[in-house]
Amino acid sequence: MASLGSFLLMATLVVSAYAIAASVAGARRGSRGLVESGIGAFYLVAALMTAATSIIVHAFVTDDYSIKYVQRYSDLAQPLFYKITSYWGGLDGSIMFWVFLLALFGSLAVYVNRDRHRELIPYVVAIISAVQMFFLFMMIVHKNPFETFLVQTPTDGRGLNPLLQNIYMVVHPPSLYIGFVGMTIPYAFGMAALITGHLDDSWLRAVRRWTMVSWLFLSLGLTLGMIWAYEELGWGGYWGWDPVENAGLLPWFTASAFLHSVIVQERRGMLKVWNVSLVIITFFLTIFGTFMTRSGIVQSVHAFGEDRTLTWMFTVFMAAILLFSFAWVIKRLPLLKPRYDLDSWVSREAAFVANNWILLIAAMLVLFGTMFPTLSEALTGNRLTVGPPFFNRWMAPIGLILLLLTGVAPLLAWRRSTLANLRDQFLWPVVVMVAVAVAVAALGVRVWSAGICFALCGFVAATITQEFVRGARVRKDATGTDVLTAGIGLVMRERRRYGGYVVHLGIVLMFFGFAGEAFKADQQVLLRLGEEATVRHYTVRNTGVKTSEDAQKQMVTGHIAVSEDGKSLGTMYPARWFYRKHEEQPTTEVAIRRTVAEDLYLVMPAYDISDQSMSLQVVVTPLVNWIWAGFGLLVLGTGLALLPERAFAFALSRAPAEASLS
Amino acid sequence: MARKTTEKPRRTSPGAAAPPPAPAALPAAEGGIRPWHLLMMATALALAAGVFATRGTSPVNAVAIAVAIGSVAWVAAAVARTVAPLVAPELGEQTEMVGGRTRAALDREKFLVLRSIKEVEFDRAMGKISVGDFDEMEGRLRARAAGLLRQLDADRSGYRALIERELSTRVGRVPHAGPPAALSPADPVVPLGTCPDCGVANDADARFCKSCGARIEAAR
Repeated sequence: MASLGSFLLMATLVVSAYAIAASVAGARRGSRGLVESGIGAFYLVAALMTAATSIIVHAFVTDDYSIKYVQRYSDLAQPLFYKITSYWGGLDGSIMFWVFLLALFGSLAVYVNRDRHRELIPYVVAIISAVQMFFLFMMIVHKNPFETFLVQTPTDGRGLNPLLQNIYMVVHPPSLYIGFVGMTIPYAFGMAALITGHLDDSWLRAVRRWTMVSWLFLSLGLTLGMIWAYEELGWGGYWGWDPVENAGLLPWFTASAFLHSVIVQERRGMLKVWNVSLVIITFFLTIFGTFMTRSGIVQSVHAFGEDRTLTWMFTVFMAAILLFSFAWVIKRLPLLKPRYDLDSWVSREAAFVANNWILLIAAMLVLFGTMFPTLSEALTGNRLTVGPPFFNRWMAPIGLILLLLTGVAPLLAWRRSTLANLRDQFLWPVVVMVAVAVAVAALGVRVWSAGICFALCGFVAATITQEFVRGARVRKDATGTDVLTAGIGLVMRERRRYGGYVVHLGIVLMFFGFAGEAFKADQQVLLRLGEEATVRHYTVRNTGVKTSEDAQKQMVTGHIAVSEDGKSLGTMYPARWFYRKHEEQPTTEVAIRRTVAEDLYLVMPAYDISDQSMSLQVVVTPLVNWIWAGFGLLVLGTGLALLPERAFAFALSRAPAEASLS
Repeated sequence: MARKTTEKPRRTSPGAAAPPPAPAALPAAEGGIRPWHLLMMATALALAAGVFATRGTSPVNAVAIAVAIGSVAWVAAAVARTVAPLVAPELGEQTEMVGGRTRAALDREKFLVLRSIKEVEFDRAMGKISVGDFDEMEGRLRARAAGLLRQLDADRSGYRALIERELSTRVGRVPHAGPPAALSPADPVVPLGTCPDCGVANDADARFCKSCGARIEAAR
């Protein structure tokens, strides 16, 4: 089976090469047959990768330990579910998984657009195939997941890292990968538009939806990563500015920028070079992010370890991407002239441009902070690290400015805003903002960043509400229906706009949750049996440390009686789990009590079974659940924006004139 | 009466009234075994054999094998998809190109420009655009929409010929060999939106003709 797998990978490499050759030759010579054959070969790559994937998954579920990769990341005792997901638990498999997803996604994109953007398709096929070829080549010469043991086949595997045996970790990598892989498609379409010179807005329309889907998955991946860090790593926070987290965040910033600036190009024919560049940079950052986590050039909790060969391969590939892409941008500059220039700085376009710059600055800052240890080592020989304080200091103001722009931009007029128009639009949101600020100050909040954040949250929420209310009123007048139908019709007709507002509302909730971080309490206490400690209004009492075990692991569980202001809340069970295959690396099982206002979060870092004592970390994290709720809204809003054209047609149609009279 | 004669050759058994090439072409296209039928059968057989072979082991194994066989079938189909265009006679360009773009792209462009006009009007109603800017933007969009409509209409004759050519190759009828009435405007299958008065093709959901202004819905 393993040799069949290796063979399939090689065949896929060859077929990818053929797809490039056939489609480029076909496009240049105007031969339909060749182009169609290239598309066929492109589908074939997806089919071959599916076959290869089914082989390796089969090896995992049937415990075929003759394959090194399977032996390393699976064992007999592992539940079936984790056996399957071990496919992407290691470096080799994750690269293969990457190619598999890219092939599926790419095929879907080509299939959907094959008629609508026929002039672009051959080059789209060629570019996606080239990216696939790089990863396939890397797998075959360097990181073959189908490599077998030459002499003795072990009888059991080493097992997946216990930290990864968690439901969030099962969904988190694939969704991040889909986000990453999906960004290849806008890139391919953008490059195809550059190469063919069809640089009107049509390629943007082809990719906007794909970018949105990828962006959604990237957001999902990042959020799941946050939840995982919060629940599994047990340090009381959700975002530690770890290089791997940052790697996912970088393209998220630039993709968000792209989703905004694309509107400007559609509306005003501006920012053309900028949009193409953003697509290129986003794609580059996905590859760069993969490189950072795979090559081990940065140290991280979940990087895969240092690897020189990989570093070289990636460096060459990334340099090639930049050279190739920007050479085409420069070549096509005459075709990318803007239709208009910026008229005024008090306009929607200008707000979008500002938003873009800030998102880009955020991306660059995160990139710099992430690469700083590596850079300093290369320059001075010492590895200097910048920790979370650096990121928090710089990112907090950037985040607040972005939040402000989220509220300001929808209120500004296209092209230029007049004074009357500003007064009309800004009155209510500003009133709400001031009211919130006063209320927050009156409540005794003395943390500046959090106070400003709350006020801005009020401002943005008021902006969005105003947009909904006024829009519904306009539509009610225009169609003669009731307010509710008008509201639904409004959202459904202007789906992108109002979907976007719902996303913004989600972002507001997330910021609201982030601000809660300022009021966090974190205290470590040593508790002997029966002793108690009080943190904020919670009292925790040690009622014992117990051990138990199952097939995979031994579990040490602390029993903590919790009460709030003297009222008992029951018992919580923070624990440490020792997986047999990885006893040197016990996992921390956090006990969390969730409420709307705050979470009580208990971790047991150390314990002594003989005298039943433990050291206990008690963390109170206010407002943290609002982040997850905000993410829910973000998904809802993106889903709205992605709905196909004809959904909810009933609310769209204009009511006949007779209907309003009768 | 004309209607009946055009309908007849299609519905009744091929033979007496139809022209000679039709009966030979039709059964081969509709009744014969196609390569993909064979592929489906082979896949089904392989699936059965695979599931049979994994008897006694865990069901997970059978599922994994079935997935593998399914993907192999997909590989076979994709190989055929890759090779077929190379061995088939070179196809002519099937979609019409209007000004270097496909017709579908132009249609979509038109739809989007029309939607943009609606958006601008909505923005105006919301007080997001000043009157002067609104006039300028809407004027530009309207001009663009008009240009697109003209472009689409100008090539209508060529489009029609193309449809007819494609129709005749698909149906297996030699061009101009069938009864000429089959493709005449009197054909009962008129596309949605065709004006009953002047015969101009409008959008499928149009209520009035863009050329003569006649009501279209009434004709339906």
